[in-house]
Amino acid sequence: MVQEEEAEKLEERLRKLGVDEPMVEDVKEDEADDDDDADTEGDKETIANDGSKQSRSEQKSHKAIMKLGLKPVIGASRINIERNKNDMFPRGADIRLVSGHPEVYEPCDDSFALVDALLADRGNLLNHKARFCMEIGCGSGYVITSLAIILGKENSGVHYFTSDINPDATRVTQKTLFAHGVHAEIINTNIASGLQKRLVGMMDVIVVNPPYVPTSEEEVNCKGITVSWAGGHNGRTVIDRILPVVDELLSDRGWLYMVTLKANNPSQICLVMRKKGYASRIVVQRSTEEESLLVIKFWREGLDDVNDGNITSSSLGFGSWFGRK
Amino acid sequence: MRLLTHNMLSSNVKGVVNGFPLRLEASSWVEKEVEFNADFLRSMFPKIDWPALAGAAQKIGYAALPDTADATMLESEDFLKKFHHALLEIHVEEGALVCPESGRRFPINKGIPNMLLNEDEV
Ligand SMILES: C[S@@+](CC[C@H](N)C(=O)[O-])C[C@H]1O[C@@H](n2cnc3c(N)ncnc32)[C@H](O)[C@@H]1O
Repeated sequence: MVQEEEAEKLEERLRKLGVDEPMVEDVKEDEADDDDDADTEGDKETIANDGSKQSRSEQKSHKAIMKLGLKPVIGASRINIERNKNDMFPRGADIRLVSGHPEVYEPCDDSFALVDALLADRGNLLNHKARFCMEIGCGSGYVITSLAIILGKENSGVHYFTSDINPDATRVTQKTLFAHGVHAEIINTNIASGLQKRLVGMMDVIVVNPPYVPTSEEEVNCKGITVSWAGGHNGRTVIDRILPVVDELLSDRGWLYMVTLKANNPSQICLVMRKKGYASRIVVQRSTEEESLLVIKFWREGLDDVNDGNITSSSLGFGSWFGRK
Repeated sequence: MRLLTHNMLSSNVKGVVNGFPLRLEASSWVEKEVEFNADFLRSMFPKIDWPALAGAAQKIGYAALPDTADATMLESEDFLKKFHHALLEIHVEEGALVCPESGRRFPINKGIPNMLLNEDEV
């Protein structure tokens, strides 16, 4: 069974990460042993950019460009980047890319951070006995496929929904899911439009790696690959549209895992969620040479955290929004 | 697209008040076996709009579901099996979902419904 092999690989990855305990990790990408942009060791190759496909590094460069506030020149967006030969797609949860598309986001550090957060919280996820899980903005399908595999063996009655605004992404996701023997219902839509009414309060787990790069507002309304990173002002435009939808969709015991960038002002995001009744904590924290990523978990406060005696502390500052789920 | 999803989708076009259920037009579908889970079905039953499910199943030639259903039927293994089949095992591959109020068509291609709206529809 494909699924079992994948699960084993995941477990190995999990062992490397070290046990089921929730964790906070702060890895400088250039110090990590699985570094994908190592500048000294390894054979390097220059990627031939003869097609229109953007490599991960190119996507990253694009993001870096956006962050500098520069506009990439249309038609001159090919960038030659050297990268390590063994920097192939499968990293993290060892999900194979069976299909790609120039307009679909290839899994990147942010995707890996999100899956690592799910792996780090795997013990809780398995006990959670989720009935419905959802990913908003599935891109290549890397994250939703990983989630289905993580929960797969032990939680057979879980059903998955996933959405993307980019039609090409929904098709790539379908192939990725299929290749790994898992299923999710895929909907080509804006956030969860069309599902919002009937799925209210039904999602036990929602995962989101949103477009979070600070850009102009025009870019948010572009199509294709641009919408995978273009986050508008402070990278918050799409995030701020997603949060109220997530609040509607989550069940009383629902959890949200979301990737954010330091530039998104995560403490303010936690405050917004706090006002809706959610506690939060950082599951993974990771700095690469370009960005500082946080994966934050949110849950409705006052439900199980009080029972567990994990009452959110109320010290000052960022820490005050984090409970201990 | 499973009929479960059909049961969860409604028209999102601006101004539409009653956008559910979407009328299903299916030109091709497949059946895929899914592990039977009675607990899931029992817990889902109250969330399911039964006439919408039975109607959609009928559209694809699966007429085994009763027109109406109530919770007492969940005791019957036979009923659960049919409910399971209709809800999870029939996948619509090609077709459309039609808004009952505005007539707007949402295409289904390769099993993926497209609920994207044009600018003037949001
Ligand atoms: C940063 S990428 C993440 C892709 C994938 N989940 C991953 O982690 O590799 C963000 C994804 O969200 C999608 N997206 C952006 N805006 C969206 C919206 N309003 N509704 C649904 N999906 C959206 C993009 O098309 C893209 O696939």
